[in-house]
Amino acid sequence: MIWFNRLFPPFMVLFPLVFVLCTRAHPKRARDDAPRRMQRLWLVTLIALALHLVVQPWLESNPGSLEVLRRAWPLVLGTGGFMMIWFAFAMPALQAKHPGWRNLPNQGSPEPVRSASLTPRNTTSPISRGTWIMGWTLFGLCTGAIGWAITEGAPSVLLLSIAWWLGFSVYGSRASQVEAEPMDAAGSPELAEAWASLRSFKAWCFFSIGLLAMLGFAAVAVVTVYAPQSAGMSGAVLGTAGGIAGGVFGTVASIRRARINALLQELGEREGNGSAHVA
Amino acid sequence: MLTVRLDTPTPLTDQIVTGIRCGIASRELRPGDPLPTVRQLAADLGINMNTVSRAYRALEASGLVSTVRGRGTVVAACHDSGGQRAGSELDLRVRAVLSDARLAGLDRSAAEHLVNEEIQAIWSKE
Repeated sequence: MIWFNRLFPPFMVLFPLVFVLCTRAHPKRARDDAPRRMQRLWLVTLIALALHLVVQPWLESNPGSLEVLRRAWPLVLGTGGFMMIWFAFAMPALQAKHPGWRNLPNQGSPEPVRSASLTPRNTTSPISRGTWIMGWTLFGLCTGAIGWAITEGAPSVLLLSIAWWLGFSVYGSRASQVEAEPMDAAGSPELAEAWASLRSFKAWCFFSIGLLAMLGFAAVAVVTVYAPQSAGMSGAVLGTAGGIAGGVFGTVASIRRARINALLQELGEREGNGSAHVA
Repeated sequence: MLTVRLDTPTPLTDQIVTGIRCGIASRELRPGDPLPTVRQLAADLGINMNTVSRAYRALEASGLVSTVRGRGTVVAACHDSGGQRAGSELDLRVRAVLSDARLAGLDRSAAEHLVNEEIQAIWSKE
């Protein structure tokens, strides 16, 4: 899988650029912020790549360390630590704690007028209790299948993997309900509907990706038992498909968020309070 | 809907308290309705969680909201503020607000318009 380790980092360098291109057509303030954010992204990506070039040969010359990292799969994703390094550097640099408001340091004066809905969102999941029960049932079945496959020789790391995906799915779908959703002062129904739609989209994506990942790992575990020669390839295909699905989900969510920000700005200008912002 | 302004000298905590009081007075929020979590409201407004938390504590101290285990902060069932005594206190507060309006340069018709708009907003869901 060394070719994969070599190809994955450049792909991960290019992907954010595609992401930026897809989300660039937005109001002036976002464009004003873009160069600084882009510089940060380039900087942290280059640092991550440089560290990767040091870490990867070292890992290859120390099989024991590589084995330890492989067992910590959720953190390193089999890429010699690149993802862990990239996330550690890039995500804090790009993270906007309050995407609706310009109150981060060095981002100009904060928006003077801010509005929020008084309706709690933490109890309004679009995923019904029945659907969650179905998800938990599938998790139980997948765990059973993988447990059986492990007794037949499949790698035990598969169990850790589905546990990680379960956590990802549950946390992600819940966290997406309480992300910042700034409103216009008049409480426009159009804006409220757009936020609700995005919220629902994110919750379903987290839920679906987690569910499909669990099914994928269970399938790989079974393939490992019945056709061990195909296990590596099926794992790579499933992993790549999962990564692309995650990338598409993130990009679509960001495009929709950017549209909402544009709507927020338009409503702010229409209402004449300047409360709009684009992150 | 709760709106706060960062460009006024009024502390954000007071603005949140006033906003939620208005929501309760206008029946936008009814007894038993849950309020958003501190984290949600702070994220939506882009302000510190401690600010929202202080506002919720002030509302709880005034009896307008209460904390219910498992439901978070909810609008309290009864908001009787003491009839006649509250009326005389309100006299003073209305006078202070109208004085501020005049000192800010509003003429009588503008002040009346402002007051009527607020009355309309608060009593429209009667």
